[in-house]
Amino acid sequence: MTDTADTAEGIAITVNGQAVEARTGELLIDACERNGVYIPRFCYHPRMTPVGMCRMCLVEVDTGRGAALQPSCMLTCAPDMVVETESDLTKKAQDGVLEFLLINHPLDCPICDKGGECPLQDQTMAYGPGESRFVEEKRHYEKPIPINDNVYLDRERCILCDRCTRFAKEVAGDPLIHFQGRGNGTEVNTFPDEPFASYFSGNTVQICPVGALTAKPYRFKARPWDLEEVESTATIDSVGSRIVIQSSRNKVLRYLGVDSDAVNWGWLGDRERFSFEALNSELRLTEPLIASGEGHRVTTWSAALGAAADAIAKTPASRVAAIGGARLTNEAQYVWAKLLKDVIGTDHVDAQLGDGLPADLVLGLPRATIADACRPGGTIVLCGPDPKESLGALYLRLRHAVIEDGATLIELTPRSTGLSALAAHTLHPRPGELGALARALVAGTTDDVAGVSGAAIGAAHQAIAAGGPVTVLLGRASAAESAAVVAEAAAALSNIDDVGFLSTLTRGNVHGALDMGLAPGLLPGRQRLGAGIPRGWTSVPSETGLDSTGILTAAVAGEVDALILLGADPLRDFPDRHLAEQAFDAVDTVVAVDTLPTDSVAAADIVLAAAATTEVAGTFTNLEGRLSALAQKVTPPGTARPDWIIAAELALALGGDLAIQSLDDVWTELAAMSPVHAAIDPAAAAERDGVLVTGTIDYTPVEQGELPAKDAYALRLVSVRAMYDQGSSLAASPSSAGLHREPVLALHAADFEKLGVSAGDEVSVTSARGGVTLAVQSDPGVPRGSAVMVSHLGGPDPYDLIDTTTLVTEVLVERA
Amino acid sequence: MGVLDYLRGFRVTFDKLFEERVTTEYPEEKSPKPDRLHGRHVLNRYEDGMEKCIGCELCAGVCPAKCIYVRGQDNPLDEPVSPGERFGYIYEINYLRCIHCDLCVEACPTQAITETKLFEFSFTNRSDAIYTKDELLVGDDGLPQNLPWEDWRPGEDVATSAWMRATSPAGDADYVGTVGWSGELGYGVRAPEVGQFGEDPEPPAAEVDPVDEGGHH
Amino acid sequence: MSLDHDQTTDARVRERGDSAVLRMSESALAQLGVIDAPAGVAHDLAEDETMFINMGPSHPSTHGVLRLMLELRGEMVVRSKPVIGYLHTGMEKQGEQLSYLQGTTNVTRMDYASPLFNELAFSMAVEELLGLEVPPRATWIRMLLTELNRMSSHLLFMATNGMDLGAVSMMIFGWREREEVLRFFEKVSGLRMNHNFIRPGGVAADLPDGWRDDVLRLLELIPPRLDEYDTLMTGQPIWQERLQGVGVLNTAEALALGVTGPLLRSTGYAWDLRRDMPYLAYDKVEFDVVVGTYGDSFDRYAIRLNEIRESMRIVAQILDQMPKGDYRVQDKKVTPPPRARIDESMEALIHHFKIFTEGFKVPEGEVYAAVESPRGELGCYIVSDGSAHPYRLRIRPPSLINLQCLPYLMQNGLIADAVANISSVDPIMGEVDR
Repeated sequence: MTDTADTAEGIAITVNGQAVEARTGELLIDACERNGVYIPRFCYHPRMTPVGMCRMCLVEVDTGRGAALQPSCMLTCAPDMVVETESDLTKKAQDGVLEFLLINHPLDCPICDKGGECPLQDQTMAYGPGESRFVEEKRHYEKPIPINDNVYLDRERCILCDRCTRFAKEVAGDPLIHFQGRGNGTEVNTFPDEPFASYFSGNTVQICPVGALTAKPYRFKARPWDLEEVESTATIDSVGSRIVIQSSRNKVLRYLGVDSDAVNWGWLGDRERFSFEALNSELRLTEPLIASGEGHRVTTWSAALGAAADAIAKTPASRVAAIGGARLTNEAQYVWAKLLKDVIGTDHVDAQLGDGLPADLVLGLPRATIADACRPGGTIVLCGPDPKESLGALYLRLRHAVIEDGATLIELTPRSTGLSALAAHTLHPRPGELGALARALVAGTTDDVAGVSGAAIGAAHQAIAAGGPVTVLLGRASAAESAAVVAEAAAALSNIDDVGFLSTLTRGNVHGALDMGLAPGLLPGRQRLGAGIPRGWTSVPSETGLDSTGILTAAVAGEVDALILLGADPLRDFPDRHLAEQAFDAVDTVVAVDTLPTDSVAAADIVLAAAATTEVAGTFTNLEGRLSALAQKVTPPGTARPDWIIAAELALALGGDLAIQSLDDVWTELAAMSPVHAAIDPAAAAERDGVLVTGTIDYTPVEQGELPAKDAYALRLVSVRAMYDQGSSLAASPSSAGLHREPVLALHAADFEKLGVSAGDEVSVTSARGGVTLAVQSDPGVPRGSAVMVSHLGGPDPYDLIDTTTLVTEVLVERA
Repeated sequence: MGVLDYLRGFRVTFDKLFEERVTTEYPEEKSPKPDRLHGRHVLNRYEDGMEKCIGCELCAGVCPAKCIYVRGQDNPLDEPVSPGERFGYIYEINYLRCIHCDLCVEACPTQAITETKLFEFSFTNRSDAIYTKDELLVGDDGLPQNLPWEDWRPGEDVATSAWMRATSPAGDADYVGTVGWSGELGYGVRAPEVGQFGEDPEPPAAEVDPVDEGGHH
Repeated sequence: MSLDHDQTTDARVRERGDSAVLRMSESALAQLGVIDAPAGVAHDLAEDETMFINMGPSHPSTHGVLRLMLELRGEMVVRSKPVIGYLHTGMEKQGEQLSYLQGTTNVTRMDYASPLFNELAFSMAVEELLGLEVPPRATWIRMLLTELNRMSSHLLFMATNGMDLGAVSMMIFGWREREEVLRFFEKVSGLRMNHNFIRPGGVAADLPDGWRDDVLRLLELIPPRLDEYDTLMTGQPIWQERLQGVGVLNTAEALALGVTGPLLRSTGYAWDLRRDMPYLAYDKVEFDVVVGTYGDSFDRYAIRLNEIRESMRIVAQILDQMPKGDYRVQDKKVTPPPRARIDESMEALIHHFKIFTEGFKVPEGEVYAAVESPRGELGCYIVSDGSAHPYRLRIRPPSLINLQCLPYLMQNGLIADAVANISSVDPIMGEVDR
């Protein structure tokens, strides 16, 4: 796609005798396609730079010196161009190019995954020769070779179009696959002993115009004519990439990325792409369960709902709490919010698990979109988790903005990220001191602050003060650092002129949960508790409730009797694991509504099997606040039910009535009670780019409090996430389950030296909450005084160390 | 018109008593089945015993009745089922839907699916009608499996794959009478039809004039 | 289109009682209820003289699932109304889902007594959209097979007609001859009916070895048997009494109703698409168009009997003139490659794959192609949107149009004559309802 601004004047060209108006800077191939003249191509991709490798897009172009064959993907439209796409010479060229491409192409069509959806096949039928003149021996390669765990490469089929190599280098920034050799011996391959270890390798499979790159999770699974498809949104992270769900015989077989101009441009991270496998896992919960002896036994829905209703009914509202909700669709979140806050009457509801940001921070700061963040020449301040590890599609957009569109990136992260190499300014504050650094950055002091040199701060300040819009990517980079620290930094950054905040909370539909009031003190529609009883509701809680940390702390204190888990796994995901375990022991009844058997599900008393994404229709809200439609493609396994139906039935079992019979009722109610949603037409959510839900909440920044003086011996813990870990969804996807790295402690070189160990040796890491033993490494991306661990890898986990009551967690690292 | 006309008519039927019977005493006696008859399908093997089916799903794609369900899989490295990377892991044909058009036979690139001459089979329940790969695959001797509800007679399995051979030139006169297929286990490489060029190049003149004195009314 | 032969022939009234007189002033269509009665039509439900009965749809003599509502006064049919739709299976809609290669398997099942004609009309329509010229051998093979199909269809008519009128042995005789023709089809295409043999571009396979002998055997076998029918039926007084003067139609009425085929020819109007709008190679063979005089059921029976003889005459000429060569157009984008090429040529493999799975694409446009089927003008109307599936497929079924004349044929006849009339119209419900 040519990034052009629509100027008032177009460029007048002639295509096949018709007058066509092209945009300024538009490539000829795009101008023709936009006007209904399709030019066949292999190597051209609208989201990558054109290279003119395949020569399939040759058309006769006369720019004033006579007609000549030119590759239309490399030509920018110029005034008075005369283009013939169907002349005899063009057809001869197309026929010739295809003949050449097919010379060495192996006779693999029946066994090739791409057959039936193969541009080479389609273009040969439409533009190519009917028979072959080649009688010699074709060239041979060993086939296929795995270039990483999920992608196979068949070099015989490769037509050397440069798409995968360009993607890997330009878009993903992982130039691990490249042309090698020359002449007839040119092949695409990885470097010796270096697999194509990229988080985005699945995209090369989708863009490869032949079956040279194939995906292992889809290998031989089905043919295009078996597949039914529907457009939807990926829900595994909060970017909400637009996808197509393809299924056969009621089983999801593949996701393909769809080019949504506002969000993901057609790219998907491998984790998103292959996450459908968890849907088909045998581990899926298919029936409601009830605790029996050491484990659970299968029970009926009426028994399970009855038991849950009994437990809740006999508990006063202030002693009922709910954690979770980010896995649900917007509509299900609304129904649960109404059940919890109206029917049951509790405000102890939090969709986040203490690893996010306060809801009113996210909803209160001025919001930016991805397009705003990636504005050409704009300034981006990354103050959140590493997008490469957490929000893959956003990472690719940011890369493009910085590399192609001249955006300036300033990092305020606890350690280096995938974008550090592209950042103009990298500042790594000590944990807990992000607020101070942010203030210094905005003010432009020259002192050293938070462990960052004044020179660096000053240079970064120049970039911000230079004017122009600034987008802050705001999120919780480290679970070991309290959210209050980030809030403080946000308050400071909000003083920048013309600033917008793009949330980088990562968990699925967490932004929808916040919009739908699954947070203490909020009601659906970005409204605060205390604004009165919304239309359609009968009551609201009188007092603001607790967030997840508060709920679990209260549970330990014996103040919570019934705990409802909406697709949440506090035992695994709450940063203070000990607190979570104690809370579970203390609570009388835990009701878990989930799709997979997580640790928390195993500890729950009543388990209600829920339908997962692709099994329920609804809408999804991404980190921009963009509403997009989720389509249902397959039926839930066993008797698993959509979350909203579970809520409605629980309400009936409790003797209440939500008055919601269908998803349309949800939108009717939302339109009536939420000014933010009243302006939205839910049907617009089904468009490829969805529809933005705009409107902020009033927000008052809160002081973070005093940070304790830094102990000379202690390091401050930084707990980050990685793209591949042992999260429940990934663990249930065979192609992703084994891709996580081993847990390791990363230290600054000087801190590493002090220990006197070698890389890979075991060390013990102890905090006030507990201790773990794991291998240690020196890492240049870690600032002095920080100890970085990745959580959720199975084995030694920082969540055994974190104290959520303090602003930072200090750890002592010693030789084991 | 008179009584005689009536009698003449009755005479025609009466004479049938003494004429040669045209009735075939089915099922003891069966009419000979022509070579190209479309019957129940089989999945063939190469002469070395490997299965021909590569699980490419072309047959499922062309079937107008959507009665074939195929899934491919990688050949296990130690014991490959078919030559090459891929074999037919699941292969089912639903004979309640099959219209025996044999487009699947024409579509198969490896001549894996061909049809036998057997059309005498019936079921008592729907699931029996869905033939799985085990039932369709020829045995180790290359012969079709004789399932309990099928009425196989000796010699019926011999002339299989005739439709594939008949359509193999795809209309091109140059390929009439040439072999374009691999050998089948138990039968070897089947002979092609003689074709139009093997026949007498000078067709005999038709001697029959069907317009006789019966003529027009 | 020039009409250089006698057009209108007034129906001659045979001296056979009132049933032969057709009154156009009264509506022949049955009306239920007082509403919507046409002006000038005497009807009086209070009279209680007439009775409505239902004949069919499940009835041995309605030639399939045809329902006839008959308004009877005693044994006489005053008015009637055919009700159709009992065999509707959405074949035209299904045709939109199937590619053009699979399309013949669908259309062939419409007129299931003469399936090759459906395939032929469809293939001709597609070929016209594609601008293909079918090779000569394919054309002649098509002609051979369709003429044999005409024979088998008319033999089916003879059988059922006889059975309906009580000549049960005729049923067996007709079936016996038809078996011989079907046996030949089985030899050629592998199936006795719904052959999927005539495809866009040509025919699916060449004629099998020894086909000449088989056809010659047919040509020897059938004429003596046709003579038997003449003795058994044509000359029989019972037969003549039952059919002569029954169901009389004249040319003006037939043309007004859109009737084609033997029904139209029975009124004396010599219209046969093979002669008047020649397709295939009918302009290269000699045959006569058989025409009736009185427009009654007997004429229709006789026409079909003699059309069998004409078909055999054509077949004999085809035996002489059958050319050699390709039997399918060798356009690589339409016809799959020869099997021998799939292992050798990349382009051939790709085209094989795409033609069988997606199908070949047909340029945008619309076309109507018609053939003379045993029942009349069988037409195929296709609208293409440039893809591999028709946008709209419509078959003009001769039986459906011909059924319109049924109330007129039956008016003021006896119930027994109703059976004779249905039989002489020879509808095939598969194409009526699709």
